[in-house]
Amino acid sequence: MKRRNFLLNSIPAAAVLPELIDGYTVKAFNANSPLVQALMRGDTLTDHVLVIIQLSGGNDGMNMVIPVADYSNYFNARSNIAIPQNRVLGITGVNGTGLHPSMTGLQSLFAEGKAKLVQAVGYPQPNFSHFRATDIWMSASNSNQEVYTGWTGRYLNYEFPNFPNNYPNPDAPDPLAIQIGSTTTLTTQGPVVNMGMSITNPTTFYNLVSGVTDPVPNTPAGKELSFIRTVNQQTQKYASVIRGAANNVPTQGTYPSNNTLADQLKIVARLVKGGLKTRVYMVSFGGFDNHSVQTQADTTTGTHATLLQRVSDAIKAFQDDLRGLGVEDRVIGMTYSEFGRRIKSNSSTGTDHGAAAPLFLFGSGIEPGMLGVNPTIPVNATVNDNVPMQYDFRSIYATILEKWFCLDKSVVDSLFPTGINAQLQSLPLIKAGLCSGITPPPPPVPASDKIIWNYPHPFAHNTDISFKTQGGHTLVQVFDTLGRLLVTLVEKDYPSATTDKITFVAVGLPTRIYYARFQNGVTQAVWPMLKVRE
Amino acid sequence: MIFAQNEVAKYIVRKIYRWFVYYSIDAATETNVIGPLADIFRNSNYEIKPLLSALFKSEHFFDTLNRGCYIKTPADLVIGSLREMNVAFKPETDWDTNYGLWNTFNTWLVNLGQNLHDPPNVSGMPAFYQEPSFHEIWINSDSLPKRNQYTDTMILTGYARNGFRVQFNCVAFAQTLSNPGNPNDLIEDVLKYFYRNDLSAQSKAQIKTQILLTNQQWDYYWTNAWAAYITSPTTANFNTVNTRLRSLFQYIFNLSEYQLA
Repeated sequence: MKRRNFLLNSIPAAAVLPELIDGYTVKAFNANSPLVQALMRGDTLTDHVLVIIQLSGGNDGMNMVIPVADYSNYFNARSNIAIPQNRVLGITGVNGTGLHPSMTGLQSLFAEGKAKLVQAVGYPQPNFSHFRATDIWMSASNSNQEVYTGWTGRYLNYEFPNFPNNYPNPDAPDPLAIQIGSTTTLTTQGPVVNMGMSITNPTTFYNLVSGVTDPVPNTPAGKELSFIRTVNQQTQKYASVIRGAANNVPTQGTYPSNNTLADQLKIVARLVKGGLKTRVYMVSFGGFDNHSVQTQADTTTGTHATLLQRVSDAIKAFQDDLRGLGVEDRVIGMTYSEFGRRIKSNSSTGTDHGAAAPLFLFGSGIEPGMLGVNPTIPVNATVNDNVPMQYDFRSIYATILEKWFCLDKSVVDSLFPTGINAQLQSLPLIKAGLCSGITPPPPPVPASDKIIWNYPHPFAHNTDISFKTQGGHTLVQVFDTLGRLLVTLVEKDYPSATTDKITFVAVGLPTRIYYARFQNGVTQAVWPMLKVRE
Repeated sequence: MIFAQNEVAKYIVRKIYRWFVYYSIDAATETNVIGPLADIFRNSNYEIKPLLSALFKSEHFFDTLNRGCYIKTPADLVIGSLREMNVAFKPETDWDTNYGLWNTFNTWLVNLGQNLHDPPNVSGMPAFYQEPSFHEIWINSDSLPKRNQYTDTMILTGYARNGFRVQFNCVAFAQTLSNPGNPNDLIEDVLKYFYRNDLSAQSKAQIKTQILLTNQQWDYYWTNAWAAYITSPTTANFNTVNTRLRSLFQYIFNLSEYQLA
C-alpha cells in the first residue's frame, strides 16, 4: 500500500479532515493537521500521474487493431491496405483481435499485463473536422456544444482553486500540468486560467534544464533580447523546480532515436522521477492523416507502419524506463486520436476521416486485456461506413478521474457538461484498490450472454429491441452506419434487474444496417439490425 | 561662452541619440556619429531641426544593426498595443465610458512602472537616463510577467465599462491581413506587423504546426477552417478559428521579441 493511501485510509473522514475524502488537496492536510502534513512531506511516490498521448491527424484504428475474427470482411473492405492475417500480432489473453505487425513493443506490454485496449471509442454525432474533433476530445463537450474549458483543466481547478494566485506555494510547488508541445492547449484550460504549463518543445526544454538560451544576433537588438529572455527564465515561476527535478535524474533507460514521441516521453519520465508532483502530462505525435499511400505495396510497411512502430516503441521504452526508475506504479498513460478512419479504404491506398477508434491505456495500474469487442464490419462496406461507437470517450476520462485520481463519483460528474454526466460509465480500466473507499464495480456481463436483440430481424418498418438491464441507469441508442446517433430510445433508471422492450420506428429510413447500443453500468453492447425494403 | 564648447553640443546630441537610436554609445559611435552630429548642431546655431534631419537621413539610422533594440516603455506597450490591435473606443462624447476605460489602462502603466503624470523626480523616468541599464530598467521579474498578463487579458477578456468592451478581436484583425487563409502568409504578416526582428524559419514552422494547425500536418486544414468561417460565420466556425488565433497572438505577445521596438 502506498504511504499516502495508507494515510487516507486510516484517517477518520468527517471529523478531522473532511476535505480529504472528496479531493486530495494537500492543502487540506496543511490547514487541518500539521502533523499529517509533516508526515506527507516529500513523499512524492504516492501521487498519481496521467500521461496523455495525442496522435494527431486521425489514426486508422482498424489497421492498428485488426479484427482477426472477422478477417474476410476486414480484408474485403480494405484489400489494398489490409494487413495479412498471418502477420497480425496476437494479444495476450485476447482471441480474435490482434495488433499491427510493427507494434511489438506494445505487444510485449500486453504480455506483461500492463496494457489495455478499449475498442471503438467515440461519441454520438461524430465530427469529421480535425480542429473541431480535437476541441471536442479536449473539452469533453457534446458534439453540438461549445465548451471553452478542458476536462483536465476543470479537474485541476477543482483540486487547486484560485490558481494561479498564490501559486506555486509550499503545498503545490510544481506545475499542475505540463504540456510538451504547443503553448496553450484546451485540455488544461480551466474556468478562469489555463492550469497547465507548456514547454514549447524538447529542445527549449533542454535549454531550460541546462540553463542555456538560444543564440541571439550580435547586435543591440540581440543584446536586449537575451536580456529579456534571461529575466523571462528567472521569472518563469516553475523554471527552477523543473530544472531541479530534471537534475535529480542523471541517468535513464534507453529510448529509440529519431522518435519525437520517445523524446517527449523521456522528459516526462525524468520529471516524474525527479520529484515533480505534476499530475497531468500531455505529449503529442502527428502525421496520422494518411489520405493516401498509408502503406507500401507490402502493406505491413509504409507511413502508418512507421508511425505505429514509433508509438509502440516509445511507449515500451517509457514503461521500461519508469520501471527502472522505480516510479512505474505512479504513472498510467492513454493514447487517443481525434477520430478514427473509415472502414473502407480509398483507392489511393489511404483512408478518410472516420469516427470511433480503439485506444490504449498502459501502466502497471491498468487492468490489462481488451474492453469491448471487434467492431462490426458490413459484408460490403461502402465509403461512408464508420465503426459504430462502443464506449464514449468521456467514460474513459471519468473512470480515470474516479479510479486513478480518486475523485468521488459525484465530483467527477460535476466536471462534465450536463446532459452527459448521467451517461458516464465507470469502466474496468484501472486495477482495484488504488484509491481508498472505492469498491470494485460488478464485473461486466460476459460477452457470450445476449443482452440486446431485436425482432423481427431483418425488419421492414419497425422492430422491437429487447434488452436485459441489471437495474440502474440504462441507455438504449440507435446509430446509423455513419456513426451518428439517430435516436435515444431509453434513458432511465430501472429499480431492479429486468428484461424490457422498446420499438424502433424505422418507417421512412433508408434500408441499411442500424446499430442498437445498450449501456448499463459497466456493460455495453452494440447489436446490428438490418432494415430491408419496406 | 558655454555654447562655444564642443561638449555642450555633444551632450545634447547624445541624449537625442539615446532616445532615437540606442542607449549604448561606444567609441566608434562617439567618433563617427556623435562628433559630426554635434558639429552640425553647433554650426546651425543649436537649431534642433537640422540635427534631427541629419540623423534621420543618415545611413546609420537605418542600419539593420540598429533596429529593434529599443525596449518598449510601458506606454509603448499598453497604448502601442491598443493601436496595433485596432482597438476602438467610444466617440468622445461618451466621456464616462472612455475615461473609465482609459483609467484602467493608466493603472496598467502605473503598475508597469510608468505613471505618465507623476515622474519619480525632476530627472524623469530613470529608464531614460540611468547609466548603465537605461531602458532595461523597465524589465524586471515583476514587470515582465505583468506585461504578458496585460496582453493576455486584452486577448482573453478585455475590459468592459457601461456594457462596452474593449478587447483584441483576433479574428477581425486576421481579416485585415493580405492572405489569412494561408497559415504561412498569416504568420509572416503577423510577425512583420508586431515584431521589429524576424524569427527563424524553424520557429515559424513550429508556431504554424503547433498552434494554427493543432499539430495537423497539412496547411489546408487551416485554409479550410478559415474559408468555412468566411463563407458561413456560425458560432462553431468562428470558435474554430478564434481559438487558434487567440493562442497564436498570446504566444507572439508572450515571446521576448514583442518587448522590443
